[in-house]
Amino acid sequence: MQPVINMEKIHKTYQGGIIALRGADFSLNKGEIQALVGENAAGKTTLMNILYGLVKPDEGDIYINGEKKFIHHPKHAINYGIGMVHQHFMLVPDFTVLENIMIGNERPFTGYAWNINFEKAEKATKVFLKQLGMDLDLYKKVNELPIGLQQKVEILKALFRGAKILILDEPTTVLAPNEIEGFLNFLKNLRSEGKTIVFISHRLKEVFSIADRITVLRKGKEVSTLEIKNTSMEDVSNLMIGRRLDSLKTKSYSISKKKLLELKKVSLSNEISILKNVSLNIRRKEILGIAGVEGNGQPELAEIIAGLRRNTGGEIWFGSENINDTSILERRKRGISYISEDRIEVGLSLEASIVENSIMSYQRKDFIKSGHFSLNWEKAAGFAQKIINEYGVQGMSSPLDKTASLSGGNMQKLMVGREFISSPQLLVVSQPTRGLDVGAQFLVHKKIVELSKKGAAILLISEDLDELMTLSDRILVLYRGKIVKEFFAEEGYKDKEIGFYMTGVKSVV
Amino acid sequence: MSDIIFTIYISTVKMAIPILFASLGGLITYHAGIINVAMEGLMLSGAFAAVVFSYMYSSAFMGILGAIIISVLFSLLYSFFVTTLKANNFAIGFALNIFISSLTLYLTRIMFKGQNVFNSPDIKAIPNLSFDLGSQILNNLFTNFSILVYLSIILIFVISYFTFKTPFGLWLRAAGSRPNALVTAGIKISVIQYSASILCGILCGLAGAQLSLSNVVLFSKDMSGGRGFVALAVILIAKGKPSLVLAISLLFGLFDALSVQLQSSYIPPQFLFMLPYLVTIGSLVIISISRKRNPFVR
Amino acid sequence: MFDKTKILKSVSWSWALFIGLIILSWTIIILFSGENPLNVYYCLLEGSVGNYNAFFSTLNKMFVLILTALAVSIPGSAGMWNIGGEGQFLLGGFAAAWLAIYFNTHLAFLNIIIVLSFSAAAGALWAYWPALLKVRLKVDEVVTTLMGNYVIIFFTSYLVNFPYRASDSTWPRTEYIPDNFIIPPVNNLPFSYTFFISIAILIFIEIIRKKSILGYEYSMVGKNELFARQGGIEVGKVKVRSMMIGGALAGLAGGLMVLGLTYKFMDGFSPGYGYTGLLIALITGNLPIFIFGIAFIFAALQVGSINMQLFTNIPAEISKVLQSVLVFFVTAQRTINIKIKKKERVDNYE
Repeated sequence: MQPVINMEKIHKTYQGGIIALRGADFSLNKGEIQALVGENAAGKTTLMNILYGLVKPDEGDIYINGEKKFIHHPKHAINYGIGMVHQHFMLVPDFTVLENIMIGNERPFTGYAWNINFEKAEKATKVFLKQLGMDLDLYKKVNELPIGLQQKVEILKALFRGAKILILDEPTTVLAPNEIEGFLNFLKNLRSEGKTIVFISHRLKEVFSIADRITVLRKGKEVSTLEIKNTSMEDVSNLMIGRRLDSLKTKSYSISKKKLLELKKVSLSNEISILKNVSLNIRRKEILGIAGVEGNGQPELAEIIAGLRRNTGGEIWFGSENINDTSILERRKRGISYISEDRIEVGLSLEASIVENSIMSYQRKDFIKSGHFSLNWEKAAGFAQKIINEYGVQGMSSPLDKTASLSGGNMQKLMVGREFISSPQLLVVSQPTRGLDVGAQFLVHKKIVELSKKGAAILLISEDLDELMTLSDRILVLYRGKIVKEFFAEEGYKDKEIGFYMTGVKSVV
Repeated sequence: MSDIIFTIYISTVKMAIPILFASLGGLITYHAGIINVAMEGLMLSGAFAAVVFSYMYSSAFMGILGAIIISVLFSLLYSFFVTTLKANNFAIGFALNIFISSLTLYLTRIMFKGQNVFNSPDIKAIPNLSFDLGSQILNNLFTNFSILVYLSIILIFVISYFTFKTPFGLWLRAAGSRPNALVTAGIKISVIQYSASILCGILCGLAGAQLSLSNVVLFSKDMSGGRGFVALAVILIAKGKPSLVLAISLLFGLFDALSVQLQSSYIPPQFLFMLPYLVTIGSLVIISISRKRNPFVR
Repeated sequence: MFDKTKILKSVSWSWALFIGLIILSWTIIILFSGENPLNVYYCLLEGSVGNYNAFFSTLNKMFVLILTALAVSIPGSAGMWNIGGEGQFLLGGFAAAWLAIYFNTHLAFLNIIIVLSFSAAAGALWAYWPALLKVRLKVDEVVTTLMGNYVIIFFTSYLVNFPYRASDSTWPRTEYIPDNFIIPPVNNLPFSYTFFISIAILIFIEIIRKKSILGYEYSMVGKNELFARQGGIEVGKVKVRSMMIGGALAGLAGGLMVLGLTYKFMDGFSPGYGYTGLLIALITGNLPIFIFGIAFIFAALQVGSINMQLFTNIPAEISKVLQSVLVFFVTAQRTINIKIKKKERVDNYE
């Protein structure tokens, strides 16, 4: 039987010389769920973006049902029945679900006065929803929906346009542990309806629970395509990385008794309550993990501690000092370091050079400046090089290049390295290993443990439960702005249990 | 006394209309996410073209047509640089404003023998629309305005409908809010932006024509007098709501009118000329203060 | 080797195209007047660099343009648009005339410094409130500074038409400033020390931008505010201060104009210098280095067109038209340049 999609010898190099794909092959059979796995920057998203017409390949061909086709724009892909759901949704936040679905599909519902007949559209969409076994309030604004539902809307959009082949890019990263099962079942449903699914992921557990076949990409090339029943997670992991990694050893040192950070009934409200009476403390040499699904107040909590936001109630104590009214600069001077979850908008300046990014918050320190007013650019370059070497930042021709020329993973390394290298007293870090491959992730985790050993108190916010469970001494679950449960490493973490609190199944708020 | 109020009323309407037209154009570009700082220049180019075409063809209609054509041409130039070449829209917008300001003055002096003002009995003004509403009061209040005045009111409704009820309106607002949503739907964002720009050009051309063929019948240096930027302020205050656009345009029109009417020997004229600009600044400040206090009120 | 020549070729091609298009556009605009373009270009060149007199006149006009351009580019690099240069310039000019005429301290050199500081302070003050409104209330500074220009234009017009009008004036102006305030011309040339003052400021600004901690912090605010803020930089203060520096420079330009060129303040003091400065800043992309060269070209166009007005029937206002055409093409050139560079990088890796 002929594959419905065949991609042959796809090459793609981005500006700046980043080679994303070097002769990658990919084939898709009708009615299957195929997983596309690989480390970060292995080329998974690029390959699928090419199939969907968002990116043009430098070389290579695409065959649909055996015939060579040219896909130069998502329009073409849609015509061939290909739909794609990206990691960052392409929904208009202010529009209703129905309006979002209508974009591009208006023609059958447009009246003589060139107006959109929303009632007609609603009827047609409801029929569709019934077929899929879904239920949605079509008139709700998309930005009022939980992320899991937003994702369903995206899938609905693609199916409404007649997609028979669905490409999903890391769809489960935004879901909480117990939502994932439901979602995977939904995909199985689609398969039984005759749809073909490509499932990009790095989460092998999920992949192995639903995929029929699995393709491993490594460094822009296909390494292997296997039937799931013929392989195991360990084998695939090896194929992805090419080497085995030691798991991080368990903690060998003890936590100090001294509390470094204490939050007393901290609240944040702005018409709606974002944080409610949050009380926590972190001691030196302790790593406190904060678990929670996106949108429950985690970034705001980090921002309040770092000083980017002012809490509306409660107190923040650092050591023996109340730092409620202390400026960001003063907090940094006291040794509080902050890594934002948004490296593009907050953690880095893409327009500025790598050196300029490296010295942010250090520009007035003696090891960067000369005299009272001037900046010693030689010292600065040296400092930048230190970060680059220690954290393995790659992909630039010189540190004077714009930071935008780095890949996402390298940007993350640069940002993390900059904050870690000053050996902070208190580190507030959000999603530290986002976009990093397994090797780099390991390095960052190692550094976190090192910092902790030196005496730092660390607040670790992460969507990656595995990461939290590996590193944290304690995990607090944040749900709807409140701390709802505390878990202890010494009692052993259970991810399902944590997940229940994260999604409110067990939380009473 | 009622005479003065009546005169102020008529003046207010007349002065408000160019701002209203430009603001409607700005509204469209606002929703499309490409705020246009060149409305001042577009309006001025429309005013100039309106006078020239009206003079050459002895027809106000040709004047209006000319204003629209020239303004649209400049909008296309603006779009080419900003949408296609992706140049900075502020930079290009200001350059365009200064270009049109100096070009129109240069052409005026060349075409009309070194004068800074072009005034001639052969310029045909836009006719006023007279009709009978039954009562004297109604007639005085609502009839005998230039055709463009009535057109502008109709356009408020047309543009509202267009923006909120049609597919194109959907695409327009998506382009300003989340352009990615359009890419996957196969709709080219550049087409939307060009369309918005052209529509803004048409409306600014109409604004200019009202300025130079109705409010007064001549062209003079920089006669748009900052109104294109007042329109920008209107858009910022109204945040894309057509009803607010009308209200605020009338407000500015009022102060524009007052600055002429209140001239007397006691107040130096310059202070009155300052009025509309001070009011613009004041309104922006007031709105911003209230937005700060109630950030979630729409 | 082969790659290098390929790149050089494409670069020189784009420059040739660029200059060609500019000359073409200028020529078309000139043709509208019915004059012979060659004659017009000749007059422009003769009037701006044709002889010593012309050349020094051109240099003399540069100081205003350099300062008003800096007035836009310094706030610009911190992310603020200062369109109020026109108003700040006028205010600074009037302030200088007023202080010199009515508060003559007879303190020789110190006089001039006091007056210029006062001009700068006036400009800084007028730039302060739009900046504050933006930082505290998010009021768009483009609209406020622009509206502010109109307010000052009318206000200074009032001042010079009514309370401070010189009794013997045919055109509304203040009295002439006392002799001890005049910044003298250099030797006997139509060129005064104001030129050197502006160059000194330009160099000083450039050094600060590149070498100082402050320069780094301002630059980071302009590139990504959130990034600068999380690093501890007080973004609001940086923005307000950058605007005030910009305003001060525009005000200073006004003061220098009065003390070094016009020796009085009059109606029509500024034929749009603030906006010309804006154009220059737009071309140079907030980089002070190029301001000198572009200011020279702009000054040459301005001075040359006065000569041109004498010998042809083209009004001097054409200089503004030619200047804004330049802005269009340079902005396009910068964007197209980037596109070519992108393509080259990919080619080189094939």
